[in-house]
Amino acid sequence: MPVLEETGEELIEACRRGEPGALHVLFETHKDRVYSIALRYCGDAALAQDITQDTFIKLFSTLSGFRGDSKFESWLYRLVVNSCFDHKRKSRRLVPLFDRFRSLLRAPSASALEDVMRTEMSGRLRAAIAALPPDQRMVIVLRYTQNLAYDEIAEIMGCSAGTVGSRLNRVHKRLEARLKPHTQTRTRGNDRA
Amino acid sequence: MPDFVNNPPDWLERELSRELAPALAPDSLHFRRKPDPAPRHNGWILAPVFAVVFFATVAGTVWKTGWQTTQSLRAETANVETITAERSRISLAVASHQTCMLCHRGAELLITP
Repeated sequence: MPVLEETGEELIEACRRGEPGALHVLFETHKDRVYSIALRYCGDAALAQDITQDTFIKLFSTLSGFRGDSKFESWLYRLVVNSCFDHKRKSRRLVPLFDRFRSLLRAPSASALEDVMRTEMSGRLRAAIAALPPDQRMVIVLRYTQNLAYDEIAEIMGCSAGTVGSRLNRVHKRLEARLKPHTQTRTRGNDRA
Repeated sequence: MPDFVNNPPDWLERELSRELAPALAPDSLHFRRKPDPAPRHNGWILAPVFAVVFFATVAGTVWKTGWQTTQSLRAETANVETITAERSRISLAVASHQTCMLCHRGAELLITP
């Protein structure tokens, strides 16, 4: 069977056998989800690319050690999570305003006021997420970026599902306390408009 | 549903889903099997500069000790007998009208007509 048609276990087996192109297919198959987690965790596109590359290099070098006890995706997610935790923030975002402007251009909506409000809320939420401790930030990224269940997150993070639940609960409360006043302002603004 | 499952308010759920939505990897993200080779050591970049400074210093020192001695001796051709006697303890007879280049290097005495 050609490498491109292989999925899951067959593809991993092909990678282990050193079949030409198999690693490339594995990279193409999973790069978006690895990049998504890295980007949503660190909030910096360049750093997210570095983390993604590091994750795949680690993956390729340790693939022979994957015994299949857990799902391949869980194993891959664990590598990304560790890469994210290992990576220190090398560069600060110097142009957040440019990013906001770009996102404004990308998502046209009914009114300019709504756009401004949304961009402002997005900025506040991003700042609130960035201020979270690493383990809480990672839990929320895995939950909302990959839509993973509590037990899947628990397996990746090496903790119990109860711990995941309590971390998520804490994050939700924290974000709610920080953002709720602004949502009320926003609603009042919409009412006036 | 287990006890620990908690549901945030709808507005927060909506905002989080929007803000943390999956992203597509950029085209600039290429497949790579191995890490980038280690960058060249910065010291190699400065090596030519160090070499130039070193040779300039050596050349300057040589010039200062050798060339200046020659120059000062040349200027004092008239007193060459005295100078050679003082520095080399060699008595030398040089005609007073004769010009010569004289270079004193340790025990060696060179006289060029």
